[in-house]
Amino acid sequence: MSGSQETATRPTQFEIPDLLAAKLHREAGADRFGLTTQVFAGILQEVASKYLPATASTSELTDFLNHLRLEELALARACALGSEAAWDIFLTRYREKLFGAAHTLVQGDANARELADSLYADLYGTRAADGWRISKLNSFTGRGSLEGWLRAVLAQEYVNRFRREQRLVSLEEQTDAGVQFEADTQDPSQAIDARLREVTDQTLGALGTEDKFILANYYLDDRTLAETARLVGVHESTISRKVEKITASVRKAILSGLMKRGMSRAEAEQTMEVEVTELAVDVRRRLMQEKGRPSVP
Amino acid sequence: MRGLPKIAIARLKAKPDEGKPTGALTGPPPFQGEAHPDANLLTAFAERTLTERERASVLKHLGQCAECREVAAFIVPADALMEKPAHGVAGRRWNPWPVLRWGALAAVLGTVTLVVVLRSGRWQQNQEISKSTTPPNPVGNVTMAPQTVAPLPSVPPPTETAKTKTQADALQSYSNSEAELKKAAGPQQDASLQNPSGRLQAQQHATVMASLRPPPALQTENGPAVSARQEQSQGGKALSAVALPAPAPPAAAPAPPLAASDEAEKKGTEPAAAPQVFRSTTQSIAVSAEPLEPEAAQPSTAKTARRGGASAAMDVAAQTPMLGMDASVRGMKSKANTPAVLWNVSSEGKIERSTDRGKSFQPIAVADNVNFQTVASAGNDVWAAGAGGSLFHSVDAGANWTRVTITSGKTTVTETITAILLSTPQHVTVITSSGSQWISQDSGQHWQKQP
Repeated sequence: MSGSQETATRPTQFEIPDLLAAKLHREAGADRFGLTTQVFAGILQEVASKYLPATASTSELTDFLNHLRLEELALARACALGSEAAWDIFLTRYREKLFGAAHTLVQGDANARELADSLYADLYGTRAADGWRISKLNSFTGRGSLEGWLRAVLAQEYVNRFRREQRLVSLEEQTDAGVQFEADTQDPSQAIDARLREVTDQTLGALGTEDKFILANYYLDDRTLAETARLVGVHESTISRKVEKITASVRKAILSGLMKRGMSRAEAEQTMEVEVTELAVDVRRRLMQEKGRPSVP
Repeated sequence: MRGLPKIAIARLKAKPDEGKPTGALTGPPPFQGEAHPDANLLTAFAERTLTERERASVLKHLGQCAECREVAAFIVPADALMEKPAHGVAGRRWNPWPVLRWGALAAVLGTVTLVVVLRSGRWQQNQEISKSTTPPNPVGNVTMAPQTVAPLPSVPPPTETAKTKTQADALQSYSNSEAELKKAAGPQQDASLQNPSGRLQAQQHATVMASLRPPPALQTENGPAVSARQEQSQGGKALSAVALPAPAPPAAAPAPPLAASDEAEKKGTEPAAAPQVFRSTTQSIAVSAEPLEPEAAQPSTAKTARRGGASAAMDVAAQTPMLGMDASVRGMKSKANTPAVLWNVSSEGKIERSTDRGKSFQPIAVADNVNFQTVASAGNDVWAAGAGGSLFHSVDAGANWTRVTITSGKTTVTETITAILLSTPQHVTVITSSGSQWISQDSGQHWQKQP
């Protein structure tokens, strides 16, 4: 419980009623991990302060707290505080899952184990700040499942590792990879008709956030309709109709914009279908290529 | 579906880089930075536990950040994924849902429409038949019930190929004959169909034959011929002859002559194949209503007769294409529409009559020393014919008979008459064993040979 003092004394904007705190503490089973009601209330205050606006009412606070993954929050925070009992449970529950998730990111058992172990180190907390271990589990807030959070952290760790490795590539390796022959990475659409670019940007800018997300998933990330639907949280048939509808509306808007700018319909259609060479760096593709290589130790 | 324009994809891809912090080598800053939603929010987004406000904020970022989209997509376990389609742009891009959706809808609508149309048609036919349950004359059914064919020299049994070919030839010839008959009959024949009473007769006949329809196995056995004939009849054939049930057991049927006749035809010993079809029709009529016994017990006679029975049944059913099928169902369900008086040719070549819907038949004295082959009736008009060109006509339902000689100029028919067709009581067509057809438009007063 080395970090309990720090957590409990952290200033918060919200006061958790004792009855609510006791109820949530009981529901979380925080006693099993050695967390007192006061400590757990402090954790809840910290989480609420992070996400709720200062003007949130008590009912909003109660509703927010009731929707947290309380048991997993207590487990993660207890691990971050060094509870042996919590770590036993954590390892029993998530060790194999984390390894399996790492295995989907990199090839080979050794690489997957290495990636998972590097995350374990962060989770346990190897860095010391003012004498305290800083555990990554301390940033878990219970908004989603602990397993999902671990997968997200693992994926982020993998991307960060990829970036670090890119920075460490030697000049010889870059030469071998043909980097000197790479084309300019500036947006190729800069070279095309300014009216088309302007209309396209306006059209895309007018799209809703979800529509843009769907288009990006489908057209940029090459995700299937099923994967996109799962991310958006709708049925596959629904996302199919959405993709179709958004695509049609984008085409129509671009066509209309070009015609408003003095083009005939035939000219506008021809302009809209101009070939745009994809010269931009595709991070995802490069990531996928990287999966085939052994990870850099 | 046409895809997104390439310029739109390019600009969509370019968007994230516009907000890229300076100094970053590749992509946005590390995930620890404030530029990206933390793992909690991404997890909550993937698990759909964010508030609307938070979700909109995360979505806005995800629309521009490919790496966060990758992370968000990775959060949900793989076992929650639906099956991935095969890699390949074409396969992935094709979206089957609209087609399947509309296809299913069209199929359902089509089925419903078909059912409604069929049900409506049946309802109307039921109405017509229900009105005619008490016909004005119980003997008013046009009847054609020849049973056997004249003995012919025995020849070796044909091969299956030859049999099939002969059947096809016969069908073709029959089709031609029917077309000629119809042409010769002219508008009168068509009028008989358009006439309500004619339709009513046809419906009644179809009902009779429906009850005589052989089991599916036999229909299958005779499949090609039946289907072909059905097609012919749907083209407008207007047969008024109806097969009648015959109580005589098939064992009594003269099998050898029949077989010999068929074989002779298959070998091409007869000039035209049309009579074979008619003869086959008439043969079937005599035995089609009898209990179908195992083929082993009735080797060739039963088989041939049953086959003919199927053809005859389809012939009559085909007179009214929709009605025939419908009547078969009704005929199976109820015998109320079966005519009370039925005519038949016995296995001894004698004319028989049943007045109890085919339960029993009584011999009718027509003429001595005549081996009858076929009988047909239309109302009180009854025609019976057989060997040596014998043709007898009764206008009082069989009480009195008059011999009719078929002559035209110097030509007199002396061949065996194997089939009689009655379009109307006045319009009589007879077919001889050589395949020649003779037509009378005035109840047998004058005859004309068809070319």
